Amino acid sequence: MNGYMGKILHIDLTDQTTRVHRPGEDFLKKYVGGVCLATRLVYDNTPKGVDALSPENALCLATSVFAATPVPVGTKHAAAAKSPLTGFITDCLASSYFSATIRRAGYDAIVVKGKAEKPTYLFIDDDVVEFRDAANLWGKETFETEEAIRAELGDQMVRSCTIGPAGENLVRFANITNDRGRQAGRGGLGAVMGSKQLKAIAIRGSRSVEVADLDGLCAMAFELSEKAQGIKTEKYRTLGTVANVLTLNRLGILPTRNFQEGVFEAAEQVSGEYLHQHHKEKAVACFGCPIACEQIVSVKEGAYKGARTSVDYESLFAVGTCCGLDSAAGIIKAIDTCDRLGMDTMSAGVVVAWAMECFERGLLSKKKCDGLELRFGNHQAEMEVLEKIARREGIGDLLAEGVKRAAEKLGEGSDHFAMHVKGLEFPGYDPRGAQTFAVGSAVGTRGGCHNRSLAYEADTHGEVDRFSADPEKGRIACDKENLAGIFDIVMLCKFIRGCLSDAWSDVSQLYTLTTGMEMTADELRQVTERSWNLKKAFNIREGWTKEDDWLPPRFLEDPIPAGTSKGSVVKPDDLRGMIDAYYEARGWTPDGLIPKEKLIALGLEDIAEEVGV
Amino acid sequence: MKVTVELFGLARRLSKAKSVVLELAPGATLRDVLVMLGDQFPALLGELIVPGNYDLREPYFFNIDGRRVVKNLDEQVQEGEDLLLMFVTVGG
Repeated sequence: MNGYMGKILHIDLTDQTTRVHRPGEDFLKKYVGGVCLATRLVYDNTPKGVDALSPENALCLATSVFAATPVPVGTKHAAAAKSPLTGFITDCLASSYFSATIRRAGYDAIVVKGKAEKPTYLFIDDDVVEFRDAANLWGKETFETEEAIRAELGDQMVRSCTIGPAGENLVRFANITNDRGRQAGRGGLGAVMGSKQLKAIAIRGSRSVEVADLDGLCAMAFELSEKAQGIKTEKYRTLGTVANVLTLNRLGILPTRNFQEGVFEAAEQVSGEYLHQHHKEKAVACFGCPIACEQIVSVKEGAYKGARTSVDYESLFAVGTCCGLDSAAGIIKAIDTCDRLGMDTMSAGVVVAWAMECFERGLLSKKKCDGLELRFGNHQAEMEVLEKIARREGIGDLLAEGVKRAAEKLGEGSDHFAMHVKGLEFPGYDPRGAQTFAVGSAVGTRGGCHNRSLAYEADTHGEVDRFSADPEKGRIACDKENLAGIFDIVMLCKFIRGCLSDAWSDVSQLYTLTTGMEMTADELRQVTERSWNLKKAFNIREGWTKEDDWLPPRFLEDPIPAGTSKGSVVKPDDLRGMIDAYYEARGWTPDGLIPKEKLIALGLEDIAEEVGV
Repeated sequence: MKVTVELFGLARRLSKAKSVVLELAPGATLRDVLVMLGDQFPALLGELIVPGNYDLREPYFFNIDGRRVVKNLDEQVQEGEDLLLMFVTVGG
């Protein structure tokens, strides 16, 4: 089979059994790979209504159809499951050698269910799966776990995805780490692994991926690689996404002090430019990537000497400006801490920012905060509280629940500034000054997310008046979601999309050259639509209602107080109108439900019976 | 008339300037601004500004006062405007 390995590996940790399912070309072409395939596997393997931290919740990894082929920026995998944060689907993207090794071991996807009796790690060695004792790994941080597994197996070619103490302690935003710094970051998949007592999945593979038209694929891949080294990716290559700090600050939508403001007075000293000049070591690339966006930064002196991490905008905003940190070294240390402990930097930063606001408003006392002066800008307190979250100690136990649950437990009106959608902490673009993103983030299937939506692109690149709210923005948000969707299904890095002539036709051509199965641009559009409807169908099955598609009260009631976006707010009636237009663009009912005939037209007859209306 | 050009990302790196105030004749356009920038910061030519026609290379664009993106370089600039030469990254 060209382009695919033709096998899905099912693993049951409870009884330590495995089976291999051979899905066939029709199934693989229908779901393609990545997020779409992972979502279908979650839907089929996770019974309705189960607790996300129960053994029944299936953790599904699905590779890109381009993984370990010559296609640049395509060696990635999706990880998906029911989220312990949201109770809905969470689908994450990660990349690099681990993704390639899944394929080299002979699999397109892996499904893990059940719960091990004791701490365990899996070693998948081509066709052999071992359930290995992880007692000596339990408690270790993510990076050291990866190294310890290599040492134990005596092979540097072994690649692993691991969890840290946060995953073991069921922190609801714990992540999964592979290749020392690539993360399936959002929605708490690390806690899902922890609930299964699964410390890591290690893989070694000896196979290669066959492609249908190697010459044709190499020619197109080479052309794409060349374009990927031009001006359209320059910003990613030199500063990385942290270049956004100064531009978003100037636009007045840089989340500052828990979204109380949109301008950070110390933006220059935590900017990408500052990091580049004072802290950058080098840029590194994922497997098969000509861009190399990952900016490695370190601290060479002072209290945080030795801290070293890769930094991107979303991490920086969350643990940095959102918490009022004006110290670049402090931000590097905070990201490094989250990465080692195995926590999503975005959720961690936003929940700490909420706690800081609670402290400053007198809703959380110093005693309640274990003696910490948890004020905005106090980086020492932030480091301590991050450690406490990962270990669920003291105040950390409350914050480990995520900002939605923490605000529900604390009460006192703190939900007004609990910045999340569906329980997932909000990303780094203030929607009050980016109204297309207001609707894009409200309707997202995994919650408050920038990466699945891309709607903010319309606002920041001037495709629309970012301050006005008209129903047309609902349709634009749908289009942007579809565009993001195709990249998440074939799993090309979104950073390369400016290098494509036309995403739909270029990607369909790459698919055809890889698999030998003819895929038209229209067929690809249908796969994307299938993927979005699958995710929505899962959420509906798990109890989604229209009220879940909404924004936190702060965005609706508190205008941005200063800066270029001063006075901007999302008006509830405007948001309702844009959401209605989004539903209409999707072909859903006014209540956001999916008509049966829509699901049937997408080839989802079985799902139509279960959730269609 | 005077306008301020604020430089971000590649523009700032190549020019080594955060901002620059330009003195322009009435009726000057954004393209005239690029001509002056090219004169003042030759490193921008080729990398960011196309020599000859003084187009702006994608994906960079002007944002006027942080509120309005203008892609038409023949648009006239107004006294006191802040012209942001910028590009917002997406994804990641």
